[in-house]
Amino acid sequence: MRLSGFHIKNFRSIVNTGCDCLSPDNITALIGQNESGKTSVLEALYSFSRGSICEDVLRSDMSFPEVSCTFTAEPDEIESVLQKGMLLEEAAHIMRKTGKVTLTRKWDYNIQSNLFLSGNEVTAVYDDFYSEVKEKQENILEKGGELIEKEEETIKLINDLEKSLEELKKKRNALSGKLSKTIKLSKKRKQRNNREKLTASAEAINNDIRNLEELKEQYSSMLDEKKRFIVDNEMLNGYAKQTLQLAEKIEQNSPYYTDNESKTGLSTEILKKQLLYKTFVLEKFLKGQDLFSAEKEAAEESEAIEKYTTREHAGKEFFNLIPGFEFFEDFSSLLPNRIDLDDIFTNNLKAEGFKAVKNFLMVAGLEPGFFMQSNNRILKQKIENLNGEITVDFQEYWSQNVGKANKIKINFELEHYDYSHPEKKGKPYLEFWIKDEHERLYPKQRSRGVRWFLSFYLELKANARHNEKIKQVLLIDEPGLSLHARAQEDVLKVFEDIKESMQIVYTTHSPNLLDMNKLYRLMAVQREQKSNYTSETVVYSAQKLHTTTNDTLSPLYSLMGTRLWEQPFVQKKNNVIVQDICSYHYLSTLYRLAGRKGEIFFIPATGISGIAPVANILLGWGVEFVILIFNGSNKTEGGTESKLVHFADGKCNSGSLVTVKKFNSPEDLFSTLDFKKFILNKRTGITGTNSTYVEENNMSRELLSASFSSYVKESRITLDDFDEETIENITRLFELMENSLAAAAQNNGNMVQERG
Amino acid sequence: MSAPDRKPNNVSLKRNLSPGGREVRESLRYAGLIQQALLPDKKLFEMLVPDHFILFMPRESISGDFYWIARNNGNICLAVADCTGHGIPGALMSFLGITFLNDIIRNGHTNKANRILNILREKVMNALQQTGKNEEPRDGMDMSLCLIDPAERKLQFSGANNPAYIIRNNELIEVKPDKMPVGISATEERSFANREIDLEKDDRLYLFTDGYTDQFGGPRNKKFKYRAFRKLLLDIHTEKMEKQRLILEQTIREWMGKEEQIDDILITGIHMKPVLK
Repeated sequence: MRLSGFHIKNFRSIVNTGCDCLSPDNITALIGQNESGKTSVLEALYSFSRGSICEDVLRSDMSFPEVSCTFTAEPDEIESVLQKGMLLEEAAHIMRKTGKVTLTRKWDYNIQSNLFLSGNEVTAVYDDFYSEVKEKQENILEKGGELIEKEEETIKLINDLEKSLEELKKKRNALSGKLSKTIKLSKKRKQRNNREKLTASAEAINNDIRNLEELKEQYSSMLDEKKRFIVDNEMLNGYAKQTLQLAEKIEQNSPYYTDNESKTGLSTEILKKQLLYKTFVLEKFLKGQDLFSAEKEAAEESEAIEKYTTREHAGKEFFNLIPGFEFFEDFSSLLPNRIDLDDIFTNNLKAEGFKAVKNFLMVAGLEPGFFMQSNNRILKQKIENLNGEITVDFQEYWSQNVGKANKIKINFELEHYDYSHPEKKGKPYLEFWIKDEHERLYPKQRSRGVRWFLSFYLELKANARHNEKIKQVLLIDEPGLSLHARAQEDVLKVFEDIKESMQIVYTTHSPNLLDMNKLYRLMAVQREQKSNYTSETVVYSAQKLHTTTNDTLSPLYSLMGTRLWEQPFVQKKNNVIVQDICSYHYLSTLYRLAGRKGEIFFIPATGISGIAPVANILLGWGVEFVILIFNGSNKTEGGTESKLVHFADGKCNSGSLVTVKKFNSPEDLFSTLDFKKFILNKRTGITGTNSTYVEENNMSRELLSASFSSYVKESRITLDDFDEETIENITRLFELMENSLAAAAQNNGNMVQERG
Repeated sequence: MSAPDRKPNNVSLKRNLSPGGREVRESLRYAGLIQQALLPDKKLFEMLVPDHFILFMPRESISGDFYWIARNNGNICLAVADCTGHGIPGALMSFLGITFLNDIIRNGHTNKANRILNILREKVMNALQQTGKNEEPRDGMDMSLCLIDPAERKLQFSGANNPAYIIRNNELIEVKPDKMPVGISATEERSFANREIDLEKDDRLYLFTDGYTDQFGGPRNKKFKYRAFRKLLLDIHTEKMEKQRLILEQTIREWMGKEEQIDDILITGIHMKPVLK
């Protein structure tokens, strides 16, 4: 895996760096003034890998440090963790798609850290997952609640039915009494009429009694049914009640016992796990499953969810795959004049320059056993050959000459102590020399700069060789302080050489340790005043350099304006003159990015008034070209077009001038969103055109366009990264230009024919 | 077809203000009148979407929810929005929203629904000076925005956290929004998606804020929730628009019972038949 970005919070003077991307080519330079916090960034990254911090890094507001690192991983690396099935499928899909893994280490008040898988998209998936589970849980609990309500209603109904039945019984008894009385009376009545009336009345009472009996029958059967319902659902209702009670308990506890133990002695987290399990049991129970099978399935289901939700577990798995971090503050072990072979064989760390010698042997590819060679002649010959190889390799990096053309050479020799060292007489030792044509001097007789560089060269090369298979991140604080400007450039060469096997993040104040053609490698670190009493470290990625102060950028400004001669400009045909260097950067970059079939060569003029001289030269040379100007608001110099036509004195046909009236400048080709994302790298509301925003905010167009160009060169942006509005604008522009070039070629052919 | 119900609910304001706060109450009432004046004219609504309803139940005299309609290059542009907060902060944000939307349409910036939301977001971020720093206000709005092309029978939808529902042949189609607001959010701004849908004559389109679904009430004092809302719309969508509004209002009032209204409520429904050519 490769470290591709970081996000540091609450570490020494750093409050929040935001998400910052490292250079894609493995070399990142942090620039900034003294006390800006550059070293803190390196220390924070180192702490991320080690997991430990000292109290010194804590901020006075007692906010705890948090360091997130994003890694770009190979598909097989990601798969090696994903196949263990511990991640949500959607999160796994995101990681497969992006090839990125973000890990966060967060420290607490005990200075203990917790490492977990993070990243916006992955975290969002987990958040969604949690809410889905929560919603599902709520739905089940709601159904459980409905069941309990139904039970309560049923119990009420049973009570009502029982009461009604009691009343019916009473009514029936009363009616029975009334009936007996009526029958008795009817027997006593002698008059026929009265007797018939009483008999009819007795009949009616009898009917009422029958009706009551029927009603009683119905009520009884209903009562039985309801009672059966209660009995049948007793277990289910009991379970639903328990589950709801637990949910209520968590709801009451959670504001107060989120992290600590609850009154029950169980943490809220454990109670939540219990609730999850119980809810799943209830769900299955509600569907008619028996308790045993419901519990079994629920256990499996909640276990699966718990397995998924361990972002900590997944974080630890990925952590095992990240590169090792090494922090180099100083290359203190300098190459000695000599070292006893015994010290090498016995790993005597106290021997002077032991580490430097071990590095030397590692770079030379020598194991200590090499010196066991019995044949002294063969040994000496091999050493001589190695001296040649090491010197050639070293000279590739160390470009300074001693005198006019005299390069230094590194030599080591195997010698044996003579009588002048009676206590060691006959014992072997290695002697080192740094030679030039005139003299052969011990390392200690050479300048501190040469010795530092040699140690640095040996340490990094040895480290790269030792860790060929395991990628490393080297964090280097201010390398090459004591070196000449030329030698500082040589430090960069060493970085270039080892960048395939190692990532380097270094701090510097020196312009010679920066590469103007690789601005994407830079990050600026700046201390910003937040109030009268507080300041904090802010980190700016390459794309935001234009927003930093001149002092911060001073190493960069020292470099600007050089090496432009390296650009190839004019071609025989398909040349397009643009109004300035910014247009050149944007258009040449976008054209390359658009992957058009044709070829266009952009030639920058020095403003509108500079176009005519350039065009005249090209006319003189007889090369084909068109002129492209942006003239959206007609704010450019009056009569621009007439001036341009005038320069050609009628020789330049009208098709040679392409005026883009829709936009003020190439910045407006980008949609506002893309402009903010890829050019400004800033979140702000832009309500006018992009070019107006740049102008009103007094921004350096040159720096913005150059940064964009170098950013794209490293293929960090593809055409698909832009939105449809930008793509539509640039496609239309390039179609227009290609058509104009074709027309220019056609006309040129005609003119040549006419001359002929 | 019905006029929007703009009857303000003053219950909580009256409760919160002391007798000495009468002036404040008067000011709020007057602010509410201004807000009503900013909302689209009833006649414009009837002209552009003849068969519609608007259920608008602000929680206070003034509201953080608003609806908006305009004609844009032959298209009908309709939005329903929920600004952060309710009451005064929400209302101030809604003033901004309505003004910016009018400005975007007047300047003829675009005829894409998502680009309108993109530009609106820029304007909101600019007005509130939002740049993504922690200490800044995170105010903004959730919004459903539709562009209806009556001639082509097409609908463009772009949503900031709020979806749209279309009911067709007794089936509810949910048009999903992007999960980001109009305003600053935790993640970097990206373009809102533009979703295009072919419309049919008998389609009913519903735009709404979350006040209805988030309202607490019922026997267990729970939220009304989207599931119940969708079911209710499916049950009533064949009714006349005015009747739909009455049912929706009656249902939520019954659900609320004695509970307090927690947020502004806004739902609009449109029957496409008289709109499409």
